[in-house]
Amino acid sequence: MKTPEDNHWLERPAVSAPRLLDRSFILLRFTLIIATSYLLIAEFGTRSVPPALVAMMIVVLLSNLGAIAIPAARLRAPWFIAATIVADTVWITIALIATGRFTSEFFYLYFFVIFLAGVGENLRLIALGVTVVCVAYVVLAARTVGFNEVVSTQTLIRVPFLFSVAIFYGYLVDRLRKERHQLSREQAVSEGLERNRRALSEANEELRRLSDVKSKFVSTVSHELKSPLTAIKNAVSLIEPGADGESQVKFLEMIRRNADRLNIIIADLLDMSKAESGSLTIAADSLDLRSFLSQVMEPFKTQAEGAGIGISIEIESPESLQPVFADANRIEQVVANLLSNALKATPKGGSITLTVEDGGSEWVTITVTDDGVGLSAEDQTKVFEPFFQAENTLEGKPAGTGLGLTICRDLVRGHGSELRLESEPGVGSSFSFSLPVLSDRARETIAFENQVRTTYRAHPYFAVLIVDGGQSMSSQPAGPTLDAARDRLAKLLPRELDVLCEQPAHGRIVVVMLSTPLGGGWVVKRKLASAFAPESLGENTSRMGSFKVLGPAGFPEDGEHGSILIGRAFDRGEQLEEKS
Amino acid sequence: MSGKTILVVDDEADILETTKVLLERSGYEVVTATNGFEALGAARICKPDLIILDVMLPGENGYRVSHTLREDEALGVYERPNRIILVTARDLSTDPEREQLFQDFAKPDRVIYKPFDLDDLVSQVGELLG
Repeated sequence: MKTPEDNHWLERPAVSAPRLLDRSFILLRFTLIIATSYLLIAEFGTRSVPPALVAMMIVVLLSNLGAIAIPAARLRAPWFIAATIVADTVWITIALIATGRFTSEFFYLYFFVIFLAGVGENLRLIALGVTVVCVAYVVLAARTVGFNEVVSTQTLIRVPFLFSVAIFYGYLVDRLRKERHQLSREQAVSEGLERNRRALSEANEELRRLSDVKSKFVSTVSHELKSPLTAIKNAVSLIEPGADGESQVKFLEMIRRNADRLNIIIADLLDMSKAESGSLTIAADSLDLRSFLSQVMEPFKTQAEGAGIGISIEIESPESLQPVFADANRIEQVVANLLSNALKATPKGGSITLTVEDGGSEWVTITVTDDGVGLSAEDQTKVFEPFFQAENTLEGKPAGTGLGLTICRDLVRGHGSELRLESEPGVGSSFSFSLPVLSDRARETIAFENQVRTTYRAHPYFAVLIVDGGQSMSSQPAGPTLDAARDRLAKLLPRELDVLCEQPAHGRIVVVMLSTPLGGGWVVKRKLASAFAPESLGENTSRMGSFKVLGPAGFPEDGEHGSILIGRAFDRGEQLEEKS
Repeated sequence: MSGKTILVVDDEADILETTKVLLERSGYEVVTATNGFEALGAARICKPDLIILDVMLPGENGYRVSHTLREDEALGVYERPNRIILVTARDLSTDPEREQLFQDFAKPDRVIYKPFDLDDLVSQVGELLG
């Protein structure tokens, strides 16, 4: 749509050209008036021209002198040009009729010339057209009355008249067209400006929103930190020597409680900030879920019994449960958080279940289910946001920082999984996540996750799918394979499946980007190639070299079935270039 | 002292309790509320001589409660203007303009910042209650 020419006129000084045009308007009009006057005088021949016509000619001449005084801007105005065209046509027609000597053929010719000027693309074409018309007219006249007659009579004077009519009208129409063009250009420019303005104001709005988020965050943090601090200060100043022991103990207890709370909030904030900056590390090792989970559950059992809530652990097939590869401290944090949330949301007589499913796959799924108050659809979308606290927990205002689930989500992601939530108000909620079964691949995956987290903080959640046309790829239909890969990815990262994919061809690479700020397809490929190029890696080069494109556990990788590699990064940009 | 009534509004039980104990020690009668709606109800029923109002409340926040009280005053709901001390944990230094905007909206008599000194609170209360 937009061509370089569109901006052309902006650059060129547009002052001198219109001036020149204005002068030519006046000159051309003089020519027309003079040509018309000659025509009239010639027609009347020896007879005297009627005074009314003489007066009209003088008025018209004066009007043209007056036009010199009119500002250029008005001379260019479309309405002024249109008015001039109408006025001049009218007086010339009146003058021609007044002579009473012109045949209808001449009028046809006159209007035809005006028509020609009106539709003509440019002045040169109009001049050519009118020349042809005039020559034809003279030739026709010569045929009927003879050549000598034509030369000696008034017929010849009609030629310059028609010519000047054509040039003048052609010029006016041409300028009218230019004016309109200019206007539409200006409009286009102002529309462009308007678009830019709107884009700017949208960006501004976004900035304001971000600033609001920041401001809200700061005030929430200061409230969360300062409230326990205030309680401590108050309690301290209420302890005085000689007061009764009971109230002293109460205030001391209050101080301890609030100090504990401050401690938790600060730990949560630190965890969250680590997670946000990508420096939250997962120190994974072999973990036996059976003993581990019952240990984690122990303190909650007494709490649940006290509240009259049933709490139990269900392991699908305890004998065959394989050890997982996970960070025990982090997973304890996650499970404890989920259990504590469940307790808050479950009324007396309700029950909480911790389920462990192996399913023979390479992932073990842990689910915490309660039959408590549940979450509304709106709350479900917000529940992972920092400082979000559902309003409908049982104790009125929920105790806690509102950071728990945000941190849990990040910890679970650190293990290559995603924290999932299913909930219905009045029915209950269930949070689940998966942990990789102990294997070399799981080790690699988590080491890789950690490296991705520390190395690619800017894009922590991108995933790359490479469908690499290996040896046997050609014998397999590419479509279903790719679909399988996509399904697999969808299970891995359900929220983030924003797949941009190209049809795989033999020997080519398909890059699938999930929810990245980069964009999609081959553009992404190019961006990745430069992002992973050795020169932009700097000191990380050696670390990058140790990366391989990984297949997450449970997905057929490499081997005999054509190679489909799913990973979260490339080791090198060149590898990408090489393969494409 | 004169047995004047003070309404303390805070959703933190500990802060509510310590403030209450302190003010009672200083000879005031204390009524408490833990959210904005309770606060508005208590203000109408008890007609306290002073309201100590926390900003961060569930539901209606302190700014809005204060604003509503001022509006009600203009409508003649109260016989005399309420004396309001707003308590906030907001940091003036991070976003002074915004805080100023909120305070202009709420029109409290005094603003004190958390964590506050109980002695300071008592002296401010004393000044306001003359």
